[in-house]
Amino acid sequence: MKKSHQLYFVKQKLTVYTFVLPAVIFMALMIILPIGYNIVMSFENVDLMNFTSKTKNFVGFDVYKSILTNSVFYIALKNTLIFTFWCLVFQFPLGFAMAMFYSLKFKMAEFLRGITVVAWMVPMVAVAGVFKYMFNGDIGIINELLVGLHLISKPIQWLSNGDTAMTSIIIANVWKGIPFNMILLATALTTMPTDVYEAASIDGANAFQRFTRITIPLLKPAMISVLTLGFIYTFKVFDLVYVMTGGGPGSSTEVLSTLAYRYSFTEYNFSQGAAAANVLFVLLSLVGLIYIHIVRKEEDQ
Amino acid sequence: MKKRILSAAVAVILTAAMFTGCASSGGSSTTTSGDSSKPTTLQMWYHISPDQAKVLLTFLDEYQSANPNIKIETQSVPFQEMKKQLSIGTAAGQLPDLALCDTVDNVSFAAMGVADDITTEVNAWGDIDNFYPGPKSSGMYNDKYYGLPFYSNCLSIMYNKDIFDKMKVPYPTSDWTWSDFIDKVHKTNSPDAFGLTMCLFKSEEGTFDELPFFWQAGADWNTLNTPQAVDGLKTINDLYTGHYMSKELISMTQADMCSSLFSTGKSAMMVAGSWLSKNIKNANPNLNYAAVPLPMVDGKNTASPIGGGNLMMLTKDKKAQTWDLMKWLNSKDNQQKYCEQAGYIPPRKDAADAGEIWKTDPILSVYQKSMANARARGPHPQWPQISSAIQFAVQDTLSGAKTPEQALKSASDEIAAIKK
Amino acid sequence: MKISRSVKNKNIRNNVIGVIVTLLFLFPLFWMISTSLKPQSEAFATPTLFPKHVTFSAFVMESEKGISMLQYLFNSVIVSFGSTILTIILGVPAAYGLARWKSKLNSSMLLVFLVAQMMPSSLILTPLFINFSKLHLINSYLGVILADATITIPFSVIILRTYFKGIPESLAEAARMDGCGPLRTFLKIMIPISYPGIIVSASMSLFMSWGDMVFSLTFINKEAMKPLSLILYKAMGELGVQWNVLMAYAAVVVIPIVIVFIFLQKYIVAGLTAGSVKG
Repeated sequence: MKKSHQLYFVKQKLTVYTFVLPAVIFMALMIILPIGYNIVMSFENVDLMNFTSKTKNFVGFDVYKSILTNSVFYIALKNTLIFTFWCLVFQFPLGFAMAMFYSLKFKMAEFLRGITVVAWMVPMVAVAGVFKYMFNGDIGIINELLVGLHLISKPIQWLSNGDTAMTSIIIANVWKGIPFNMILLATALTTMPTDVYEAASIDGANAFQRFTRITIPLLKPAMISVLTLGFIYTFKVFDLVYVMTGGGPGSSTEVLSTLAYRYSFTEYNFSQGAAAANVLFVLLSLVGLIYIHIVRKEEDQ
Repeated sequence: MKKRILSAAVAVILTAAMFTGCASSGGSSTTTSGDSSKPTTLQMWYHISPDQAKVLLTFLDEYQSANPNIKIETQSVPFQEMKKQLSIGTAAGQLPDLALCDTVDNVSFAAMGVADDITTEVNAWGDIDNFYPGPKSSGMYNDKYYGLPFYSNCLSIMYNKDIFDKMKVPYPTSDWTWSDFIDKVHKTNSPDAFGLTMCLFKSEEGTFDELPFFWQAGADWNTLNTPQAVDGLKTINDLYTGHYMSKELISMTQADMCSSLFSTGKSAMMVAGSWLSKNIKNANPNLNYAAVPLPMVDGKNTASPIGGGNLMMLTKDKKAQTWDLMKWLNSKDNQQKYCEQAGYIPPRKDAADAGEIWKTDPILSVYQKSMANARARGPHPQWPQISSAIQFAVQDTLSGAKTPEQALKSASDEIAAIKK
Repeated sequence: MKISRSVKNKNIRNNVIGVIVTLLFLFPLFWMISTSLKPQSEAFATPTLFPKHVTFSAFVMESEKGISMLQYLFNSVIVSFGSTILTIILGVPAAYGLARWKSKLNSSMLLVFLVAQMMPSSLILTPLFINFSKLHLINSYLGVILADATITIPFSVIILRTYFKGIPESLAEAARMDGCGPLRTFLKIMIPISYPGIIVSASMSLFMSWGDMVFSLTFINKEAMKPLSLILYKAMGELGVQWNVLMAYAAVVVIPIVIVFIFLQKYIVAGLTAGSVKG
C-alpha cells in the first residue's frame, strides 16, 4: 500500500514535468534567449556599420556608460516614473472605488461591472487613436467640453506641450487601467468573510471604520499584488506612447521602452537599444521581486 | 446544455482557424524561391503613400505583362517603419530584391552593406549622366553607386492667393527675402487662418522642412553650436510660439498638415514639397494657390533640400532581373510618366526637359527650377542619428522644454559623438 | 417596512449612479462610433454628440491593392485564435502542474513565466526576428501566433495556477482512489471543473492577441496577411487627420471584441471574480 503510494507520487512528479516543461521550453526559447541576446549585444558595439558583418568588438561597459551619461536617459527614466506614479495614483483608487461600489450588489451591479471591463479589452492602438482624437487641440471633444463648461477660456494644445502631453497619455492609460484594477480588487472583495463585517456592525463600527479596520487589512495582500502588477504593466508601456505621441514633443513623453526602441530602430544603434532595454528590464525585475515574493508567500500558506 | 453547445462551437471555430492558418502560411513561404521553369518572383518594398503607390502599381503591372516570366510581389511598408524593417531584415538575411527608400537613407544602407553595389551595371547602362548631380550623388557612397533616384522633389512655399487678397498683402515673388517672408507671415495671420504651416513632426519629414531655416541663417547639421544655428532655430520658434502656426504641427506629417490646414484654407502659406500639390487637388480642387521659391539670402534663393525616393538593389541571386526592372522604371519615358502622375520632379534632366508639365504647370515649374539649386541633406552614413538630434532640438525648443541654445548644445554634442 | 423602503431607495440610487458612471466611463467608445458615422466635414467641425447626417462612407475602406476589410478581419481571427489555442495547449497543463506540485525546481519554472511577463515585447523584436527568419516564420501567421503567445501564455499560466490551487486537494485524492492516473485526473476531473477559469484565460488571450500591433508590424509585411490592428496603425500614419475614417477603422477593430465579450460576459466576469486572478 505504502509503496504504491510512493510510486504514485514518483509517477505524478514525472507527469508534472511533462505538464510544465513544454510551456517552459517555449518561453525559454521565445523570451529568455532574446534577453540573453540583448545582454550579449549590449557589451558589443553593434551599430549600422557592423550589424551585418561578423566583426563585433567586445567593449565592456562602454555602451552602458554612453547611455548613462546622456541626459535623455534620465529624462526617459523620470518620465517613466512620473507616468507610472500618476497612473497608479489614479487608476488604483478609482478602480478600488468602483469595485467597492459594485460589491453593493444592487440590481444592475454585475451587468455594469461587466461592460466596464470592456475598456480593458480595447486594443492599445485603438485606445491611443481615440484619445489622440479626443485630445486634439483644434477639434478635440475634450477642449470643446472644457471650454463649454467655462473651465478653461481658450483651447489647450494637449499633445503639443510637454506637460499636457504627459497628462494626456496618463489619462488614456488610466482609462484602460481602471477596469483592470476594479476587476482584480472585486475578486478579492468577493472572497472576504462576511461574518467579520457582521460582528463589526454589531460592535457599532461605522462604515468608515469597517473600511479602514477590516477591509483594508484583509485586502492588503491583494492590494499589494494589484499594485505591483499595475506597476509592471505601466512601467513597460510602449504601444500607447509610441502611437499617441511618439515620445514627443521633443523628449517630453519619452519613456524607457520608446527610448530603447528609438535607439535600435530609428538611430540603428542596436547596442544602445539593447542596453537601454536591459536597464528597463533590471528595474522591472527589482519591482518584480516584490511580486515574486508575494506569489511565493502565498505558495507557503 | 448551453455550455456544451458553446464549447462545441468554440472547438469547431478553433480547429477551422488552425487548419486555414496552417494552409495559408505554408502556401506563402513556398512561392518565393526561384525556379527556371516557373516565373521569377521579385520582392519589392515601397514606402510611398496610397495616392502615389497606386501609380507605381500600374507601372509594375505593365512591366509584368510585358515580361510574363517575371512576377513582382510588392509590400507596402509605412514610411517610418522602412528603416527598421530593412535593418532587422538585414540581420536576419530576409530582404526584398528591390526597395524604394527615402533618398536620404540610401547612403546609410550603402554604408551598412545592405544595398548592393551597382556600379558595373550603372556604368554599362550609360544613362546616369542624364541625372541631375544632386539626386545622382544621393545614391553614391565612396564613389560607387548603390541606388538610383526614381523621383525627386524639393521645397518651395505654397501660398493661398485668396487669403493674401483678403488681407491685402501683395503676393510673394521669387526675389523675396527672409524678412519679406516673416513680414508676410505676420500680415496674413488672422483668427481665421494661420500665417504659416510647416512640418515640425519628429521624423525625417520634420528635418526636411526645418533644414532651410538653418541654411538661410548660415548653419548646417555640423555647425549647430554656432550663433547662426541659434538664429535659424529662433526663426522657427518665434513663428511657432507667436501663434503664427498651429500648435498641432508638432504631431502632424506633411500630408496631415496639408489636408487639415492648407487645403481647407486655414493657412496662408505652407512650406511644401511638390507632391502635396496632388493632395491639394484631390482634397480641394477649388483652392486658389500658387508656389514661390524659398526666400533669398544675399541675392540667391535659399537652397532647397533634395527629397525623393531611390531604388536600391538588395537581392542576393536575382541581380539581372532586378537590374532590368530598375532600368525599366528609370528609363526616361517611365520616369517622366511616373513623376507626372505622382506629382514629383524627375531626377533625370532629359525626362524633366521632355515633360511639358514641368514647364507649363504653375506649381511644378517652380519646383523644377528650384531643383537646379537644391542641396542634399548630409550626406552622411549616420544621417538618421543626426536627423534625430535636429528633430529633438527643434521639438524641445518649441515645447518649451529647453532654450534654443540649450537644445542646440545637446544636439551638437550628440552629433559630435557620432562624427568620431 | 421603513427599512425595506430605504434599502429599495438605496438600490435605485445605486443603479442610477452606476448607469451614469458607466456611461461617462464608456464615452470614448461612444465618441469613436459617433465620429465614424459622421461625414468628413462634420468630423472637422465643432463636435456634436451625435452625427447630424449618419453616413457609412468612412467604413468603405480599401487599400491600394484592393484588399477587403474581410481579409484583414480573417487574418486577425486566425492569429488570435491560433495563439489562443497554443496558449490553452501549453498553458493549461503548465498551470496545473505548477499548482499541484511544490519544489524548488517548480518555483524556478514559475519564475520563467513571471520574468516573461515583465519583458516589454517591443524589446525582443530584433532577436525574435532573426530566429523567425531562420525558421521561415516571417510573413506567416504562425510567426505572429508564436510571438503573441509569449504574452498570453505567462498571463494564462499565472491566472490558471491560482485557479487550480483553489480546487480542493481531496478531489484529486478521490480520483486517485478510484484508480485515475495523473493524466486522467487532469483530463477527466480538473479540466471540467476549471472550465470557467479556462474560458477566462482563453478569452483574455484572444483579446490580447487580437490587439497586438508591435509583433505583426515587425513580422508581417505582406499586405494580404496583415491583421486589423496593424491596419489601424498604418491608417493613422497614412490618413493622418481624416478622423471619421480613422475612427471607423478603430471601430472595426473594437466592435468584434465587444461582441465576443458580451457573448461571453457571464463566463468572463464570473470566472474573473471567482478568485481566479489573485496575482
